[in-house]
Amino acid sequence: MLEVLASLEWTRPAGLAALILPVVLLLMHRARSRPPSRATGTLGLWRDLEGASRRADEHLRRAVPPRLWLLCAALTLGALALGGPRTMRPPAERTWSVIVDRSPSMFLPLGEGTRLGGALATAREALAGALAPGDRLEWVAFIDGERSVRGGGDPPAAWLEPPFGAGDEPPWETLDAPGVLWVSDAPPEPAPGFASWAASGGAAVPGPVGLTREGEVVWDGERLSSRPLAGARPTLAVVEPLPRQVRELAGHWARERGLALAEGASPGALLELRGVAGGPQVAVGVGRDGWSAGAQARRAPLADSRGPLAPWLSDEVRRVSFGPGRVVCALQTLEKLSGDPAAFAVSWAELLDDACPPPAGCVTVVERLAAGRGGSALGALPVPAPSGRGEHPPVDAWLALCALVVAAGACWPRLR
Amino acid sequence: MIPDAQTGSGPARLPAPGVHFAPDYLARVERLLLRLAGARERREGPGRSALAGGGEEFTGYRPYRPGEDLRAVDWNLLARLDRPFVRVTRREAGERWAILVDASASMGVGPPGKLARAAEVAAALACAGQRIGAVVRVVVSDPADGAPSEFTLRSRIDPQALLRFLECRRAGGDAGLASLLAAPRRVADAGRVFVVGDLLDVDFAALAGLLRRGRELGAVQLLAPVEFEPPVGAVEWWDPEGGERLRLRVDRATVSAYERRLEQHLDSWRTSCARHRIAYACTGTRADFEDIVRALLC
Repeated sequence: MLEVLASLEWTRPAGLAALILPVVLLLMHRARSRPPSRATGTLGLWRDLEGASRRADEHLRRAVPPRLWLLCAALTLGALALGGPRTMRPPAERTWSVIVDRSPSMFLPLGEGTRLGGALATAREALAGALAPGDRLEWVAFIDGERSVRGGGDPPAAWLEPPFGAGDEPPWETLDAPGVLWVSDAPPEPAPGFASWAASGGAAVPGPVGLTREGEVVWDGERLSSRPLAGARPTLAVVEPLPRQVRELAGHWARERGLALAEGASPGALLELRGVAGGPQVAVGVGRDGWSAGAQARRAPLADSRGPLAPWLSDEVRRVSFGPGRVVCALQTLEKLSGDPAAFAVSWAELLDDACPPPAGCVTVVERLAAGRGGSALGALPVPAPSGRGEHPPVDAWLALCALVVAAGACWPRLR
Repeated sequence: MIPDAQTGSGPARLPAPGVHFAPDYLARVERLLLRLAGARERREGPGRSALAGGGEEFTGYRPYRPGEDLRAVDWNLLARLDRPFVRVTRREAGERWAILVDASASMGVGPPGKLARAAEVAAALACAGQRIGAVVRVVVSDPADGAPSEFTLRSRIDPQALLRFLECRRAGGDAGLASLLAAPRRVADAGRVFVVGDLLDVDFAALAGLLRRGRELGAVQLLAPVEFEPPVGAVEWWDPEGGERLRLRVDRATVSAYERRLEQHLDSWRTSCARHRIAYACTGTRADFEDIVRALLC
């Protein structure tokens, strides 16, 4: 019973003042049935007669007629109905969207951890003061251009590891909304209008920024310099069957980018250019970026074991797909190549550039720049979402009905 | 604290605690005294005062009436005339009377209020004493349990002053007649002493303590109508003096039992007073004071 009462909320609490009515009714009855008080000087004589007389108190206590009890019950129910009881709506759900920046700068060292770790710690501090009971957290990251959302108190552990490839910075401008928390390394400039933010900050991190034919380019915090590559060069693995033109272009591109060329599958290759061996082969016409050609082609896969692949060259079906670290080419031969020959080379070189992740340890100068001082700022709170549990049961109406029934029971002898 | 009479809580509220004299009260007293004197003269002959008897100054003889104290018979006259006569004496000028009035809380029961009626009786007795030249001291118990209030009515004092004194009295407290009777020295020089109250808080022994040789004693027991004729039904009785409450469902049988007990109580007073030659009158407050005084003095 107490649990039921505790689960009620009163929309018109002033109506509960009517609960005084049954009490007043009982008091009035008691006052009316109270024996008249009379002063006497002969109380001693009455005291002697007390044993022979019935105690009026006991009589009066029993004297409340059942009809009056029923009337009081009806009034009580009516007063409760006036209070407007209803079952309590579960607290409105608020969702905080924590946008995690997984761009390369976030994995640069900061203290004993990374900028990402520091930014997440700052974000947790900011959330600790803003989270209300019942608030929900969702973690959002952009992986290969796709929005990935995870629930729970912490982001997935895989998000804390450097991505294979360049990694994507979230499209901040589209994420400025109440209840959104940006987690990055540098404070946003300009500040968002609605979103909250938490930034790790961090000093500039000198280091390699790219490879050349001669070696690697290193940024010392102020200027770029070149130095011989200390370790083995990263590899472009070429796996047949591929059109001759593509294979030759890939060799040139690899030399120009400072990559070693390997024939056949190579597990540690930075980029793999892979042909498609199985499946039906058809003659198709393909082209893009100002070049065209006839080709014998097979069907390129939509995904491989490392994830989905993006289309690069298609006719009716996909012929060339790519993803971070790999290009899958279903073209077997290219014939009657037309258009600007330079366009063909530039087009394929851009494909390889897009698919080739930065070599290990190489981060662009822009990413290595100082991120300023960390901090956080709370913006607009998330908008509560309706609980969506439907309408409240009409408790007051049921109570009013019960009051009516009980009152009718109390008045029935007279009505009859 | 005495509980409230109506609600059972709060300060005491007695039904009839005060004293108020009607504007024609003294005129009624005058008529009463004339009637008493006339009756006496018709019965005993001219020149007899209604209040004669029991004093020291001899004024004459009158025929003996059956039931009278044989000690009052003049035996010499009986021997000479062969008819019994009693000596009639007149109170000397300057004789002292005392009237003790109970003003305890129980005297506020009514209506009509017992204290109001007691004050009327006491004032009428005092006027009767003044009429024959006696110095009358009216002593009223104090509601605050302090020293009793007194007023002395002499021959040249306007009785209105006595009425004003009595109208200032209110029933209250529990120091009633018992406190007055406990100090008999207060009335030591009085030849006539009247006690007016409900006599519910004293026993006869206390009253008998006032008996002295040559002193005449009178007692008036006043009860309220509700004490004589209690109502039937559920009643909460409360004692104004002790504050005690008692809820009873009173039926006819209970009323009969009560009336028997009350009658026993009054009978014991009546018998005891008669045995000690104390003038005694018991009446309800609905009775006029004239009837009470007449019953006491005739």
